[in-house]
Amino acid sequence: MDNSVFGLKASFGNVQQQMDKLILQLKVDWPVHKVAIKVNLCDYRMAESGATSDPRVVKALVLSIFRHYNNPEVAIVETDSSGTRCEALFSILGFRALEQQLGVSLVNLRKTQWQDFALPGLHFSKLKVPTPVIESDLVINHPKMKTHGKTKITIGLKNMFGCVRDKYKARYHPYLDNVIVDVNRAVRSDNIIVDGIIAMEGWGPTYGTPKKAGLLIGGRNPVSVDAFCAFLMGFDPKSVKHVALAERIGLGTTSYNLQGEFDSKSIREQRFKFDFARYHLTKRVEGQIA
Amino acid sequence: MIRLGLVGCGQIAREFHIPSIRDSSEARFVALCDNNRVSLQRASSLTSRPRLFDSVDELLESKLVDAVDICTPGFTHFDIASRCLESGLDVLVEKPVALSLREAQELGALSTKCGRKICVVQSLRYHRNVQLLLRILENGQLGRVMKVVCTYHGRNVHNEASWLHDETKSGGIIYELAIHLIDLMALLLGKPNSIVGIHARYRPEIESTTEIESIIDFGDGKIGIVDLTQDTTLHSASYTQASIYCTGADAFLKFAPDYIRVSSGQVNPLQETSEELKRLASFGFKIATRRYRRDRTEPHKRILLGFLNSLRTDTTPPVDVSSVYNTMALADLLSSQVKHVSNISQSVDPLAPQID
Repeated sequence: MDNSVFGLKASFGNVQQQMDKLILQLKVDWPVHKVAIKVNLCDYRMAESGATSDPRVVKALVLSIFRHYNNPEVAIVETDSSGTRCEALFSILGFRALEQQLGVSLVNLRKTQWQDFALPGLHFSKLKVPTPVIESDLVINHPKMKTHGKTKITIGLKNMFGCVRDKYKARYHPYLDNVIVDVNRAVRSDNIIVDGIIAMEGWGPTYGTPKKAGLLIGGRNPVSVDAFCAFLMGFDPKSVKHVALAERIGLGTTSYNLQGEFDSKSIREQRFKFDFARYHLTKRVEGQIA
Repeated sequence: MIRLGLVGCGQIAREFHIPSIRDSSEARFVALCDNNRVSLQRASSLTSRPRLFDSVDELLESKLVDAVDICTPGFTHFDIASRCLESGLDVLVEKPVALSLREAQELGALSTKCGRKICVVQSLRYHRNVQLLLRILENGQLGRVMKVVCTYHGRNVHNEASWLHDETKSGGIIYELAIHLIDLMALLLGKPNSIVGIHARYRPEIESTTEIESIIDFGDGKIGIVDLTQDTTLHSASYTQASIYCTGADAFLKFAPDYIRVSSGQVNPLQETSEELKRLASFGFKIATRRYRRDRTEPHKRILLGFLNSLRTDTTPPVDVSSVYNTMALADLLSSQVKHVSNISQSVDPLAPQID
């Protein structure tokens, strides 16, 4: 299991250059004709909020993929959620421009084919998985770096929760950590490219505060990438339940082999202290408010 | 005992209407009606052995009820309320009473013709702080209201029922989402004269008018300013507030947690801070004593019990339909002007901003 994690400093000025470096480092050695990029479009929030994938960063990612994989077919994928319709999100948040400029397809997974996946899961024994993602030669998991009211952080593992078919995914919230682990068992992420240029802290994943972290993080194993991001955000990776669970069932390891622009000394300077939602305290108050 | 029929058993009915008369000895929901079986069953579990109906016609034919409480989507109110009045029943109807002044007036005329009452649940009017505001206005402590600024910054409604985000049905931001603030403005300023200026944003991607800002002339130098939006790509915090500017003193209202401040002269830091502390203390007290949630239903309860009392004593109900004519006139005026500008899709380029 490759636990290498690449950390790069990035801004909108050098995002293309840094993305190229990252994609080159993470390049796979099998033929790639179809690529699926799972973005994070959780709500009707602009990229400046830190809540949703930034079309400028996704554009850099797509151009890098074209460059390093000989122009494969690229699909940007997301699923409807309780509060959103994918088509509207793609339009409002600027992804239609990428469709026109780069010829990528924008796919609402809910409207594509799904297939059964049997697993001895923590929550599911059988799960529907999106065929276009499963059949892609390269699955790029492209999360944002955010805090989350229920799971403390949301990075690569949590981003794949968007590959659950149901529109009303809130029904899984009581078992969220287990469901996240199950989905990641069923749907692989070949590369994880975390957009932490504008991250989010506080009341994430939707209405937190934008945090200018200026980071691009990449890796091949979502557990290692999440663990590194948790560290950068100022959390103990093992205190994030779904990360610890994923490690326990063998999806990866929370220890990581750090590469890129940071070494063990300089990374301390990059470490942030993300404010996070004290969900369990506020939930008691919300019980009376909601 | 007044026998009530509940038409529409969704969230509003279950969380506000049924609990409001649960302890009443004057009335009981004896019949529930909804074409959604799940909602019907859920509401049924909150009431004592009601008869269940899946159509209004069946409910009316049953002759089981003396009055109906209508909690269906706004675009159905006019039709259902008309049929209930014609069947000789008194009517309590959730906001908006209808989707135009003309329909509201027709309901008013029909209620007079049939000799029945129609009461509208414009619940903000019976909010504790709005009642306090009306009292101090009546006492002359604020002088004359000259300007009202209402802000409604809501969340995108696409996670709600499908009829709600179809503005041809719900009436959208004006008739459904911000109708309480529009009602408050009309209550304080009266009948609107004209729109001085308006900006609206229509999002073709979600087929919704997501933003309206307008200045309204109410005559005699009185103006209203509304800032209504449900577009969370262009604003970030969701809240509701109203500022009432008067010749004697100004009043500022915030909601959830509630706050009212009366002020004049240079903003006094001590007063400002102490009012916020009062707000905090009140919120903490309500949470600690588990009154916060119960207090949310108070305005509904006051209107529902007031309506029942008006039936018993044959008096005017708390929010008679004629008292919302100005509200509907203001909503119609805004709506008619929005139609003029909403064909212009003023899209925002998400790729444009460069933060580095």
